[in-house]
Amino acid sequence: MVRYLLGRLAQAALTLLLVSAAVFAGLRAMPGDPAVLLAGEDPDPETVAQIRAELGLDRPVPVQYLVWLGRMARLDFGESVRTGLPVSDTLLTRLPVTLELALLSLLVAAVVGVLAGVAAAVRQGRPTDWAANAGALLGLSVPNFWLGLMGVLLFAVVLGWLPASGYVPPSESLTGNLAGMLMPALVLGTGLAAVVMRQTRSSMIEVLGSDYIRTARAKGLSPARVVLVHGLRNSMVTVLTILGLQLGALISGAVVTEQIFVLAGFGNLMVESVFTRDLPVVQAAVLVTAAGYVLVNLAVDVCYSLVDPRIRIQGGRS
Amino acid sequence: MSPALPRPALAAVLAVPLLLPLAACAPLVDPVAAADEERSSVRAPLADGGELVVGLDAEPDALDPTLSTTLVGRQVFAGMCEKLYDVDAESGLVPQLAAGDPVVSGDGLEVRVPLRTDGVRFNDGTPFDADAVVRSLDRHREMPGSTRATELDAVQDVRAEGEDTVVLRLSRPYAPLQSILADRAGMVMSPAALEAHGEDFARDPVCVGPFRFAERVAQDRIVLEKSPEYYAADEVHLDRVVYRPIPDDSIRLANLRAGQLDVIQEVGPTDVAQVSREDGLVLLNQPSSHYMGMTINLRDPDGIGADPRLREALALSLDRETINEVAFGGVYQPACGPIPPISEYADETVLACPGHDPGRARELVAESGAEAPVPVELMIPNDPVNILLGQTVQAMAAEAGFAVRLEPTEFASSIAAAQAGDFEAYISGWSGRPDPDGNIASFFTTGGANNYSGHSDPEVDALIEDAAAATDPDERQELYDELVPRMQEANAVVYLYRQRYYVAHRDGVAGVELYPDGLIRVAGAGRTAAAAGDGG
Amino acid sequence: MTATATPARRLLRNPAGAFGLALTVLLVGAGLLAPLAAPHDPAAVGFDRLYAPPSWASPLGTDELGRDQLSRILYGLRASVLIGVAAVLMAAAVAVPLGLAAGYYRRVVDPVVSRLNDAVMAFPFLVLAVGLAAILGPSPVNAAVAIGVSQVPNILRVMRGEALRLSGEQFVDAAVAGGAGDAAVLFRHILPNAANALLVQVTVGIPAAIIAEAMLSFLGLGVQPPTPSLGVMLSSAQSTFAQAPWLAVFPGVALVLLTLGFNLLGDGLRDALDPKGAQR
Repeated sequence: MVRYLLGRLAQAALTLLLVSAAVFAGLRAMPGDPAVLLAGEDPDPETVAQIRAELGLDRPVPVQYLVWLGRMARLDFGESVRTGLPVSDTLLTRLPVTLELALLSLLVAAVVGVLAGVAAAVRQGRPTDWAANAGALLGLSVPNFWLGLMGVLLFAVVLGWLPASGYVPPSESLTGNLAGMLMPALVLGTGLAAVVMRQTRSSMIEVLGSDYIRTARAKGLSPARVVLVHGLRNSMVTVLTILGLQLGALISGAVVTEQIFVLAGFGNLMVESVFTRDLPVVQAAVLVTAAGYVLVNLAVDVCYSLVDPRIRIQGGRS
Repeated sequence: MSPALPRPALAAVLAVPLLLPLAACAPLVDPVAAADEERSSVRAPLADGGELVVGLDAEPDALDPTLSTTLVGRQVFAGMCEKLYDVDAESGLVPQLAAGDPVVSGDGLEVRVPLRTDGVRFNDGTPFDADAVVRSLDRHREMPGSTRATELDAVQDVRAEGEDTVVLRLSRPYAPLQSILADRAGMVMSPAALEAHGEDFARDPVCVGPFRFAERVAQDRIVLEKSPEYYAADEVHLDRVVYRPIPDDSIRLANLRAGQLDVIQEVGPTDVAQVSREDGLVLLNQPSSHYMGMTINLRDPDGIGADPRLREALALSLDRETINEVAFGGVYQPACGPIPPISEYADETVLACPGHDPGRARELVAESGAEAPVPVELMIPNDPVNILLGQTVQAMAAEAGFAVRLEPTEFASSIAAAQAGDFEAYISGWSGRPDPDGNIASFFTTGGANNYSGHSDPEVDALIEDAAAATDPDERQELYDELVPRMQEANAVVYLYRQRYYVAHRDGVAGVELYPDGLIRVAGAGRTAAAAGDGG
Repeated sequence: MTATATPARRLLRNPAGAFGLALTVLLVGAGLLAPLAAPHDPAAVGFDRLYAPPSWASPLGTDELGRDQLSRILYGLRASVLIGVAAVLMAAAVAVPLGLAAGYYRRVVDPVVSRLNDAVMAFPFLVLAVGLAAILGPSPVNAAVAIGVSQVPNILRVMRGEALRLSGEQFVDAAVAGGAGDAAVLFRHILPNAANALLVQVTVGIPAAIIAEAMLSFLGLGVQPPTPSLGVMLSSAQSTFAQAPWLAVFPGVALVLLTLGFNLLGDGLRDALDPKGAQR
């Protein structure tokens, strides 16, 4: 197990190194010099050159990359080019917003998806099953940015029932926070709920048809107990995997959801910072996002391999 | 995996999106009403105390007067950093930390600025004096990366004369100097804070001002609190001012309506008419010098820039009134030249407009011998409003025989392309300067930093230089009357429209002032006594 | 459902699948035939008919420049379909050989390909799209490239799994024993047997790609105005929703119907190609 874990950690580190090199190279291939943007509306070449030197942009790209890697190793994220504030502060103010959004929508997806999936499996072929399937299909087909747009326009702009506003920290007002996050979490959770529902349904059907469930039923256990204790527990492994796999989709979904609901989250920060060529912020934010993705998947794999040791032999998911 | 769906379920799936269109179908509101009514502030008896939350349209950049480059950053400085001179409600220049107008020597090369010494202190308690002014001006001029250095280019040397006068030696006579000292170059930073933070002044900026910097949470808020050191502290009503960046126009407005914000910068053009009539909200409205123009690349041998007839045809094809109607609901102002109507130099000649003449435009295209439709690549900013503007221009130019291809480009890339001369036509904006020179020199002088068109005419260069050096207003007027028509003839920049500033606040607030520089002044703002009474 | 029925028959007998096929054919057809089907020129601006509500002349109303929305939606469907399909095909062209090789050469190729695949998956898609738009300029082609890159991991994983599964099968061992070269084994024996899984993954990938395209265009990174695109139309409808809701609603409905068609078709295909799974 320890060897397996070390191997996976090494793989994760390699993945992150690849991501960091890609983002570094990509940012430097972009037209638009951060120094020119910083030099203001009326830039003169001297000022621009000075700023380039200050930012270290006059050095060869590989050198810049190594310097940056060295700093990252010491957890020094540098300073935002635009605001002059430490990047770590910026990331830390933005991270809770995105984490809350992601967790709430996971919650929506898990609760709605699992309940609908179980109900559909238990009532296979009946109206409940059809309704759940139709709902899942719609959930998969409606682009979440359009759903969000309609939500904002209808509930916030036209009806005025919900705030369209940005983020209210829970420390300021818990109800305000939840009211503000309700729509984004629902919108982001919809597509995921559909995936979870379908997966839960099919694995439940499989489990319910399996021998040991039949045995349990034959022993006289109540149907509800069979479904809840045996069926659900077994299908949770599948659901967990799906959630891990969908994390990437969740992250890019969060970026767009944040844009539409004007939540000052991580996604918004990354896109904004690309536009303002705030390179240190983009580099750090992309790396943190990728690290989150890699670590969650690692955790899912490890959990999974504890449940089912065969996975380990393969050295990863297939 | 999924079983066959029976038809009723399908019907249910399809019904949901099809029912949505039945939601409200109201007619468009009449957008032109109330747009012209100028208002810089409302007055009411104010209560002391309370907090004012201001919604900004972007995250401010570094809060360092030497490095700052954005209008949104200046909004925050307006609450905490006073300047040697200020702009008044009529766009005139008035002393702020200076004690009177600058005294210019006969040859125009020495400028003496008298300073206030009547108990003025920085917000950390350090006394304000001539040495502090010299130190700030030197930092503006010399710190690596200073964006003030170009503005103060004409200044050769600054020295203190006693405690209450600074003397600026110029390398050439420079009329715009006073207006430049009414912006960030005229902000004076506390020497103690500069000592403590050096280049990181933005971490804890200290100036002379009604409010002092309290905290900044990146991407979330900037908090200022009432300064006990301020020389006119007894005229300041508020305890705190909080600035929050909320980039989306409609969301910012929704927050104002919901009471989460008290003041918002920039009401979107489509919302102006509605807000002006809305109970509970007050719309402030000021003309500005902020314009959008279409720069044509004169150095592009294959483009329309190479042929003056095609440039003129493109300019004549544009109907600025309709552009204003379609893209901005009629709430902005058509613009034809670099000098805004609010300028003291805006006479008839300077404001004259070549106008809309599609017939003449078609003739010019025919005369040029180019095969119609003449292709034009137009680079535009990639936001919805500018894309609408671009499409409007495209439709109008088509009438005159141009096939405009739009290239929406994000800001940083467009600057790079413009600087490299890698464009044919480019719509971009300029936030405007109070002095005419700030809207002309950089764009038309050979080699100017913003001269993307590559315009180069020694006579124009000389006129620009003379106008900037002329200290007699009548002489300057004559020079601009000669210069502006020449610029228009060149059609290197085709001016499109001039923005107006629309700021809104709740009616429980008064004393918020908006001037033509677009800055929201909060020094005299407060909660109305009536609203404070209601609140208990 | 008889065991002898061909997949095509099974698909048509499944009402949801058949409906999905019909919807897909209808909308894709309408889009591809937009030049014939559109009642008006989608680019014809009319400053005297801005924001006209739906009427006989313009059944779905007109937009902020007085253009006919029905015509624009038809052209928009065309852009969506072309970009979505192109993105997935590009992704398949990259992912199929890499996935097969990774699944077959597990010692040498797999570690490299899998790490790269992980890196692509861990990279935030929107940053990639924004970056590509900044480097290459926003355009339909670059949007398709960005979407294609984001689709590679899904297809690659499926193909790798198939190659893993099939390389253990007897007929592959037989082919290797018979002296078939690696390329022959991969492309003549493994690929044909993985074709069903690939077809299903591609059909599922297209609606995802269409949604991604609309999203990028919505954010100003894909199709550029005045070329009609559903995402662009939604983006410009945002600020005038209260006055002209039809501009935000109809393009969205068209988008939902298009992706719904592909999703139903994808489910139907999966069931039809995998009779065992369909019994569930």
